[in-house]
Amino acid sequence: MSAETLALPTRRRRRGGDLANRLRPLGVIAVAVVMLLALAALLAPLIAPYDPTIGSVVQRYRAPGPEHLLGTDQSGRDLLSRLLYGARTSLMGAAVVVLLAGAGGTVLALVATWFGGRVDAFVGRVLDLLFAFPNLLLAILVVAVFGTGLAQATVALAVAYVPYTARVLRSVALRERRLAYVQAAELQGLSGVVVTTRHLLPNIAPQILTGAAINFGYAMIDLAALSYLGLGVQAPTADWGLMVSQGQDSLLQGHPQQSLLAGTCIVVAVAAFSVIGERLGGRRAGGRA
Amino acid sequence: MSRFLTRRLGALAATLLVSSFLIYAAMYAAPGTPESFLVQGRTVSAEVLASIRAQYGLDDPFLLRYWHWLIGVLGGDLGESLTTRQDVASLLMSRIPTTLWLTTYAAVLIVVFGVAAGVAAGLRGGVFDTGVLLASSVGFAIPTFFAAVLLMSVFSVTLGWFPVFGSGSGLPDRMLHLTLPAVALAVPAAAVVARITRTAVVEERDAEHVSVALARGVPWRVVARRHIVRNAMLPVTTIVGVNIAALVAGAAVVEHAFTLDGVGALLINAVQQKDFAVVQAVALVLVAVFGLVNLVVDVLYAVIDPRVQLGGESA
Amino acid sequence: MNVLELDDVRLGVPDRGGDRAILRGVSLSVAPGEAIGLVGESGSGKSMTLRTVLRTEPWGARVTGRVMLEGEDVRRLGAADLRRVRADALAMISQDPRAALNPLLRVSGFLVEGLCDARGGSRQPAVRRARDLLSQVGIADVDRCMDSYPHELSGGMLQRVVIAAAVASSPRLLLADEPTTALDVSTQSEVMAILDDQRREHGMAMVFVTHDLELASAVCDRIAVLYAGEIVEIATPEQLHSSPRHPYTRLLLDSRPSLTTKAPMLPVIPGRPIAAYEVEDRCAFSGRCPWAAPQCVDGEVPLLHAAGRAVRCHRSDELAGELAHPTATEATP
Repeated sequence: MSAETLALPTRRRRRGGDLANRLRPLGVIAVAVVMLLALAALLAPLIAPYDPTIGSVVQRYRAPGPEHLLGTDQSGRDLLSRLLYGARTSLMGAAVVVLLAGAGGTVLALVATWFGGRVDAFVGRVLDLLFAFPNLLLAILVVAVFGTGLAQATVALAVAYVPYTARVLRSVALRERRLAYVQAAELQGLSGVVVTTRHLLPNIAPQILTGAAINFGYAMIDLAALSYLGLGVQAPTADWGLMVSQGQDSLLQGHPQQSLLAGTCIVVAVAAFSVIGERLGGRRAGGRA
Repeated sequence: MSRFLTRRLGALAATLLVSSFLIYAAMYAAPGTPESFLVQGRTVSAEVLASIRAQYGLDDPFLLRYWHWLIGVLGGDLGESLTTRQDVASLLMSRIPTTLWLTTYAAVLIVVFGVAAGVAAGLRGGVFDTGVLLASSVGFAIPTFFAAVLLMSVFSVTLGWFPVFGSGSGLPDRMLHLTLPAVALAVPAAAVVARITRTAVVEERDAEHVSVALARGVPWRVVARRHIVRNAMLPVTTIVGVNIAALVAGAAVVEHAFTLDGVGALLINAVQQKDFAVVQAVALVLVAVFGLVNLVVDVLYAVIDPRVQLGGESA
Repeated sequence: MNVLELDDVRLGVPDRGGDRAILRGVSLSVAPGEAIGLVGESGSGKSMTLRTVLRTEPWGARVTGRVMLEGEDVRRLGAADLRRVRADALAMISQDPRAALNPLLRVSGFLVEGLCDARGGSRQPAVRRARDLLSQVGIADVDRCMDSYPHELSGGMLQRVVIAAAVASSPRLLLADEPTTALDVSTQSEVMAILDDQRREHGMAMVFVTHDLELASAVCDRIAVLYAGEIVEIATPEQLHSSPRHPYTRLLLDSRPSLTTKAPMLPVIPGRPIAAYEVEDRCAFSGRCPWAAPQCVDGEVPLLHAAGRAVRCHRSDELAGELAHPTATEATP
């Protein structure tokens, strides 16, 4: 039977293949978009035509033209420059969230897996408690305690993301730990630290990576939401979420560019990261099947 | 069933107790002292400060203050706003209807459109399927606040079909006012639900019991309804539940965008003004509602799936 | 008229740069009430042959040849007719009853569905018939069984339910795909006995797929041995055991463990089984055949019918005596 199923592209696999084929160009586009955005963020000081925080009231609401390629906002600041600089806070913020949450989740998962027993139970309890809070509420509370700002919002989101990351990684690490080769390494007398870092960590690395790519999109959205609510990045710093918020009044007065441009940047970036995350996840699932 | 409910409610109560302590402790530890808000930056004499501290019990030890607060909360007294001196409980009560309507409206949209699109995509395939997939990829990436701004721009400013701000009074007016906010709130969640539903339906469609039913001559309509869609609803229930529970907090963003007088907007304002009495009360209520929604979803899941046994340790 | 007539059925699934063959021309006929066994290794195409009859082959597969069921070509039926044939004339028993039943549907729902939704009967008589059938397949507590969900029943019980469902529509042809493989050894023979019993009682023909030559011999009138997507030999169980005509059949018989003698080591067929799509223009078995001769690798070998049996081997006549010899293991005292 097994040989038969292997030899046959079954209905599901074939459909999956179809879908992958249909979406393949999307993956390439997604990677290109992410690289482009990263480049924009890196080179913002070099390629931005204007200072993103300085404008003049005389220049406000300029239509796109040779002088200001994407026009200006309510304070007469160049929108293109603000978008380029906005990429820095938006991407950097999300990257830090993902890094912190990934690191925290990994450490918790490995500690829980390695020590097991009471430690595992304790970590589980703490995670359960954090799960009792909706993600965004947890972030808002952390901001309430530590105050508003990019750094605070970043830490707040990282805290909110740790439970999910830790739970997923713990289950993967636990499965890995039960495998014979880890047990064998343990029986050979290798220390817990060595086994964990040398055997467990590399084997849960793909999951860490996939989780990071998926979290990145969520982190961008939530970080932008916090900035939009006035709890994250503060004016006059350029940030996409903040720009959507600042542009809202202008939009109601008939100048929608700022909100639309900044919002579109968020949508494109998040979509790109979610496509990449799905690819990584899909490939892993395919490899395991 | 009742044993399960008792146990879960007990667990929820314990979680709320610990959460209340955490929330209270966090607010206590936050920089800035409450009396500095009460005096609003005015310079006051040491005597006045001392009397304020005594009035609010600010000199009591932390645990005692927590204890007093907790007793009050259990008796329905959520404290008093530091900025407006209003009773937090009545403040909350006045805000709850808007949030309740908004989240219910959004939840209905998520279930109706998300699940319907996913089922149709999974069963029909082809161009429609690809369309739903692409739409859900984009929909997922649209933050609720940007959806709010977009909808406002198109339907309120340009077309003038819907009011821009406010929550309205009376059911028809309320529905009119809440339509754009509810859509904005529902878009990303509906996208996720549509995608998961589609995957579940496609997976279920390839299940052996489906081809067995077809090979027995059961009509496709019946197989689709009884064997494919019904079974696919198991994972869908979970994901719908997660997304509806998340609305509890997500509503804050949309309420802020449309300046609705909901609980979420109250929370955001309180955080911005460092009105910790309101923050801790609202947070506790949101955690409670979040827990209840999750509990309802678990019960629902057990009702649909006969394999889940509520009496024992549920998997 | 034969219940089932397969005529040069070929099946391929699309693959990079062309079709990948799974069945390479299967021809077979089943008389009313006859039980025929399809025996072969994994991947030889036995299950796929059944699926071409039910038209449940994998998505995208291309099937040629004729599958005549009571004079109608199943492959050419429209949707409505296909449904009618599936509901009335055919019934399938698959390997794993747990996968075959919807986990969210009670046994009663599963049984009634086949009678009501598939055949347009009304509910009350369907429930009565379902209860009858359950007691016929030896289920003691019919009430409890009717109200049970699949996860509450054992594999053996479930397979009885499946048998009851298969018999329910009084089909003329039963397709059984290793119906006992997924069951506990202790219940295998019981379920097999019930199946055989029901089949005889209702006078149904059966195509029985298995890799177990002994089991097939016990319940079938004729046996077709498959190799790499084609039939290499058809004969009665007695003929197969006393005088196999195809070298593959001979080696298959040799590689069974015997109950009466203790072999130091079971002989295995040298080489690995090849897949249907790997077969070149020659005898599919030539690569592993100890009796292979130059003519065996020169073109495909036809299935030749003679004296009520059929064999696909150039040398079957000259080897007849040698293949019929008792095997080494059985000769050892």
